[in-house]
Amino acid sequence: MSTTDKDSASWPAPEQPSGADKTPADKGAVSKAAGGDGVTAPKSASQHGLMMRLVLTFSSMKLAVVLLVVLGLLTWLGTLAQIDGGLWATQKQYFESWGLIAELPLSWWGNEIPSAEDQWVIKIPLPGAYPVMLLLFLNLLVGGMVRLKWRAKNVGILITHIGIALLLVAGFVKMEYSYSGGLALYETPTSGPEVANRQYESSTFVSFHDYELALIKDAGDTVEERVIPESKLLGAIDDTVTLTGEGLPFELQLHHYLVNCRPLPKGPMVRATTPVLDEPGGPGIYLQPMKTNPQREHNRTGVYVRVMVRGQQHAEGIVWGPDNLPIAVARFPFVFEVDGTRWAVDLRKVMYELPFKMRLSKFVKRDHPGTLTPADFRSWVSVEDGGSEREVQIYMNTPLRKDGYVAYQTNWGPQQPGMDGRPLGPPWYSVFEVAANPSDQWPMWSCWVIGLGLFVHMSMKLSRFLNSSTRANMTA
Amino acid sequence: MSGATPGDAMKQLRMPLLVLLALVLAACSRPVPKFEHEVLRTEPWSQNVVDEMESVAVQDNGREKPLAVLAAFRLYKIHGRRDLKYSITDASGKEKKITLSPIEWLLDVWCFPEQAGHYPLFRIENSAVMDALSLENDGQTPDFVYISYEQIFKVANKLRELAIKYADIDAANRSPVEAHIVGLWQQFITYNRLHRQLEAFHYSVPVDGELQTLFGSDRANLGLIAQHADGFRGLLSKLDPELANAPESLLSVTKFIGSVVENDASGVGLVGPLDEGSEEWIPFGAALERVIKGQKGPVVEMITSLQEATNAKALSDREAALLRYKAASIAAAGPNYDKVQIDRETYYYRASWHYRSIHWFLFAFVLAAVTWMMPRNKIMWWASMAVSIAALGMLSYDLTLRCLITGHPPIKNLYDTFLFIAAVSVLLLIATEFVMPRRIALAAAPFFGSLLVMFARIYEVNSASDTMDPLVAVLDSNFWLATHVTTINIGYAAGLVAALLAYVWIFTRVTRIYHPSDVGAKALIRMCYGVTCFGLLFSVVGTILGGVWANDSWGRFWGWDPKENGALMICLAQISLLHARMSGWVRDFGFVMWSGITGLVVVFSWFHVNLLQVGLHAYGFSSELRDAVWITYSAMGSFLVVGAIDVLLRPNPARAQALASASPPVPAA
Repeated sequence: MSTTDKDSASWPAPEQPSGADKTPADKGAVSKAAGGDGVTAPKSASQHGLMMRLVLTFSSMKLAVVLLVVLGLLTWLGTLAQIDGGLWATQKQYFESWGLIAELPLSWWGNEIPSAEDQWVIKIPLPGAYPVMLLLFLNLLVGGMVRLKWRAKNVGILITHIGIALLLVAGFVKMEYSYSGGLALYETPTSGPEVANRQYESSTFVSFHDYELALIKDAGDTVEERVIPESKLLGAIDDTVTLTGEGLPFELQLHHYLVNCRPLPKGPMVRATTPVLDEPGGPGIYLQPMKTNPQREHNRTGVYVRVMVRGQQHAEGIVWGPDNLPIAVARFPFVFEVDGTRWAVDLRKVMYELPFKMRLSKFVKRDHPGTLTPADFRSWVSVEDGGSEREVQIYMNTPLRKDGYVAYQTNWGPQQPGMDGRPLGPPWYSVFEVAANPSDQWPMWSCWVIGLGLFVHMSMKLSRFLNSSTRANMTA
Repeated sequence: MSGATPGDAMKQLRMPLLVLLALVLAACSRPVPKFEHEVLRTEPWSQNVVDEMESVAVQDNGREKPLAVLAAFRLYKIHGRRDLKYSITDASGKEKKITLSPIEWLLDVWCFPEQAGHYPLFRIENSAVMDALSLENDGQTPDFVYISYEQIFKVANKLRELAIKYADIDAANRSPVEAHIVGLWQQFITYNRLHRQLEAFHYSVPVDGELQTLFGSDRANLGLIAQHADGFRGLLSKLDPELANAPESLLSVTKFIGSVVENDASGVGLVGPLDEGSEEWIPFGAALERVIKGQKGPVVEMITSLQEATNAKALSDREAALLRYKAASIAAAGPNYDKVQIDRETYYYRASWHYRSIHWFLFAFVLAAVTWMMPRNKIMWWASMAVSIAALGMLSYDLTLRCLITGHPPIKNLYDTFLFIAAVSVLLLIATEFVMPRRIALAAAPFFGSLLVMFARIYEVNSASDTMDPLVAVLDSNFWLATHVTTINIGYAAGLVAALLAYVWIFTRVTRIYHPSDVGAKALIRMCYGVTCFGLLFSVVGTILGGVWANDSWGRFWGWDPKENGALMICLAQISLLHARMSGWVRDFGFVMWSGITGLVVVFSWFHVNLLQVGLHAYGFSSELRDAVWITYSAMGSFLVVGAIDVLLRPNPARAQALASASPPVPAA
């Protein structure tokens, strides 16, 4: 019996006759494999033009194996890297990149991570997940679907491959077109007045990670806003970024962009490494750089802003990101005046608009009796949408899906313990994660497709084997 | 290869013999630590009382459970063993070994605290720990010693101080002594909390005047206060708000009650909910407060009977009081006492069907070993198969009971995975044996089943937390537990079974039982291939379902979380293996090595990722567990290394003549 013959039909070399899968039985472990993947055979390659050779190479099953192994290796190293690097940074480096130098700290086995200089690290250059998955997708399309022999025998494989392709597309769509953020609402009081700075209803949600710089113009009754995404600001980490705009009577120079920092008054004993700005009647204020937290949402980003009018420094200020709190809190934008008009610069988390409004009517948390472990926490949310209003429950594993957005119950508060060790609420606030993802349900469909395909293929193989002479001989 | 020579059979017997030897070695008992204190309970608890007390209902960790279950998991945590063994020197100077079950130990902690306080209970594995706590030791503890609660109590302040200091160090970076001290402090607290639950019953305060008349005694204890709560309340109501006219003994009794209420405030819920609509069981301090405020009924009887159970002179009186206590406890809990579930869970642990299955699996394995020497004997084959199926039945019954008790599908924590994967693996191997009756899967099924259930037993004691405790909100979804969790674990099981078959292939090649081209070796490859295909279906569907679940609970399908990555790695290992085989890149040996590595990936995903202390699936961590994972890696890896060396040294092994002639020609597929 050959271990290679049974499946070669799934990916034959084009020049081989259709009977290629009936490879003669090998004569033991020593004979050469007569695999179905003729692509790598030098003869077949030389017979075709360059284009064809490329197609053959990129659709070869051996390339698939290599890519799968590389992806596995990447996943493994990317898992271990999270011990030190945190999820977000690792994800960027390993899984959302084109290439990287992966590190295998040899201390990973014990979780005892010594200081960086004591670590004995193996460095492995690897392609990032982008090129691997891209190639895998092409390989799957051409090799696993187009070049696959379309026969009844392979129907399961084809279905499976379609499902995997759908899954990869879903992943791509999610990566490219989805965005998400948080929305926190206080329980609406059933009696009594609403408290001023508490948010009871909202139709905006705020990104967990992504910052933007907003330039706001005081236009009397209204404000005009211009927004610059975080990616354009990163140059200010170790240089100066100049922002100009049509119709602006000034330009903004950004410098000392700090990924994590705290705004502090300059104390007498403090030696600031960043510029200290004058503060009327105060000792001066500056942004104190902090160690970057691997949990990215815990970083508070800040930047220095210089306003230049006609080449002259007009004003200087600092702006910093909000606290990681779900409550609407007072912001401290940098306000300045140019030619009698008031302007403000603010560094804030990116905000997204929902096409509907959510109001939290009730929040209930039930603990397992005698413990502080929540057994269930759920929100009753009234969703306002074009005049009509309906109430929905949002709780663990049961999000609200509406108009292409999905709102999940993720957290609640306040959770800080009071004097008796129990949380301070009620009143409670409830935190939702809101995500917009066009491919929201695609993975589930792909799951059914793949499951079906594998089931069909494996059952056919099993039934063939049960009736085969191989089995008769093996069990004799 | 359908026939075997006697010499061959001897070779085949090596593995079972080794396993037997290992079991015998494991069974060799250690010397029992001595109990060096006055024996206060001279007779053992009578069996009837022990049986009855096992099923007393309590509430702990948010769940109503039998007292025996509470006792067992507390003892695992504190003592690290399933029972407590010690030896005493009786009147005649002879040494007598005594073994206490968890419930007997707990009854001692509550009713004979002074004796229980001297039990050799806390395991110290390092003399440096003794030094750090200034405990007397000979400085050359070769293995470990057990010390008592009373011994630690004397140095509790020092222990607390050190533990708080070391707890600040990241768990992964603690030295063994530091980790030991932190662990010892947690064990001490656990014991102390349990000890304090009934501690107040052992105290009394002197009273005189009106109180002496009321209680009919010159000392007031919990039982008397509860019994005369109305009269006591009457006395309290006569007091003026400033307490100016309060007699001394009334003040001391109120003070006593105050400290009682505080004493067990963080303890286990022993008294069923007293408030309408509440699900929370309360400890005795809180119950006493209610009684003084006017609560009537069985809760009073609970307190008075316990007063006697903890203080009566004769053991028989104490036992009678305990039985009264149980009746009162049931009455007090009223509709909150879930008799069906309590009895079911008591039965579950008493019967311990998964533990029984170990024995039957081992028996089936021995029978399977016999079939190797009698290959033509169908009866032995059926005997082994029948015993394996019976043992699988026991294991499945065990799992079914767990589902009924928890109201959830079979897997809701790591412990459950052992039992479930054991059952699926055995089922898979039995099915394999029916498809290809070569007596390989026949032996592998009970071997692997018993191994995994034994691991489950070790894990249960090591992790020492009740395996049926309620779930956190996000996991509390029977739909997803039944679909994603079950499928992914079937995938794990298949990955492990395929690896096991791969190791058998390597073993047979190294020991020359099979030549790689023998039918037997080829059949092993076939089995491995079949199991891998089966596993792939479940790994892939399970992994994607996990993503779909994550999408419904966290709003993202895939987050590169370690547990997700682990699952993906299993899928990738299996997919790449099957494609490598199809493309002709790997042959038998490559297939086997790849399957073996896939087994390592399964262990990584199943266990190791939980120890990395990152991500949403990190369940907690113990250094023993980490060691266990590494021992497993090493054991599995050694097959791969030995297999690779064997192939390097003998790339083309000569066939043994006898074997070659006994084997039919290799058929083409």
